[in-house]
Amino acid sequence: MNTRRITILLVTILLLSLTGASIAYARASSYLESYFVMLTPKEGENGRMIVSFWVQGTGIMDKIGADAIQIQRRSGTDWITEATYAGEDDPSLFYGTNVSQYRNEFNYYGTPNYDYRAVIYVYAGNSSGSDTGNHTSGSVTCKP
Amino acid sequence: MLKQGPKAAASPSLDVVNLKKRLENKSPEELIEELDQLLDNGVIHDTPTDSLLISTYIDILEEKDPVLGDFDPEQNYADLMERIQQSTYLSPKTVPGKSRFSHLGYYVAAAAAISIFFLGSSYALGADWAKTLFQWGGDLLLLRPVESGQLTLPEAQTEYVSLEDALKQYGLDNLSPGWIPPEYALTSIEVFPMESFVEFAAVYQKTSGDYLSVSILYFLQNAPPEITFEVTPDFREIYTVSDIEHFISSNTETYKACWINGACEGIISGKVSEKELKKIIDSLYERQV
Repeated sequence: MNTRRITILLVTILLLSLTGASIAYARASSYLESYFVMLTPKEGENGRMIVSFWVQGTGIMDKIGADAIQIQRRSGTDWITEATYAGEDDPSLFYGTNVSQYRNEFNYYGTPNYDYRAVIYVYAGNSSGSDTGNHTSGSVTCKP
Repeated sequence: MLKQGPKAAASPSLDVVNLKKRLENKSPEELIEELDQLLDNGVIHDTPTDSLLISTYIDILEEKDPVLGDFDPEQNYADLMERIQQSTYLSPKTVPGKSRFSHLGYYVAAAAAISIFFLGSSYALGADWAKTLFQWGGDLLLLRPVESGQLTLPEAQTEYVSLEDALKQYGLDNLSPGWIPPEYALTSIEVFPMESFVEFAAVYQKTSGDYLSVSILYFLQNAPPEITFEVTPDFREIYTVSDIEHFISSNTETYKACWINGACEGIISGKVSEKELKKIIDSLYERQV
């Protein structure tokens, strides 16, 4: 296989991986439809990162949102949880009631030049039952 | 407005009930003949009454001699061209009896006239003629709207009357569907502006409670992030329209699609069929053509 073929193969693999990068599939749910959490680092704001999340239900839910969000920092090959926010500690920030989807965001100040990611544990429920799921964001580098 | 022609059609204020009763007793050929006369006499003008008159004839005609169920525009166009060719090459002298195609000119003229009336009175009648199709069937060319659910709210109700309206106010185009399944109607349109993204959320519902949601997430600082979708394992498909891949999947009772277009991620989910979902996706891009 010559260099040109190897290059084409690598580019194809890269494109395929990018195509699928926006979607992760989880098992079916009668309550949860889709969800994400993401970190947005802010330049020149002393390590500020915006933690944004969005949870969509299959219809109007009595309660829908985040049971918990963890902020993790990379340490070598491991991820260390730096902070955990529990939904029940601040329901007005983390849950919506009688809505089909809920979103919110808050600030987290990390250590500049370290890689961070967030993990969300989502919840949706109504009188018929409830379900939970989780999602891990892509990693970002905290900016000074 | 009508000045002369068939008796029941001559009244400026059309009595639709009596007209329907009268027309229901006629054969399709008689109806076409009467419609021919109306058009020949030049008595029809671009008025709501005349549009209603024509549509009453067309409705009764369709009841008696329905147009094709599964309309294929390309096939029907090919058939039409073939028929026109045949009618050109067949001399009336060589064809025994009265050919139905001898009225082809009338039908085409009728269709053209009908199209003018329908388009002219479109907005007054509240129809979405932007999504209109020509249909050929039963020797009659018809101009019919592709039925859609209700995409707008009454203007006085909220800040935005439709998803398209909300998106436009943020300078975003071609992200809202131009078609949703009939019986669905927009029940809420909300915009949630945040620091990192703006969510445009439209909810359409049927009277039965069935639910269809269209969400557009506009990411202001990052590329659209990875999103987790709850899906059944048996159905996943990539549906490409306008060079954009739409990831279609199903959940327990819903179908859903998501796609990325620039800085926006779109998500449609609800109680619709796979076919309807694809039609909604198609309608996202029809305005671009």
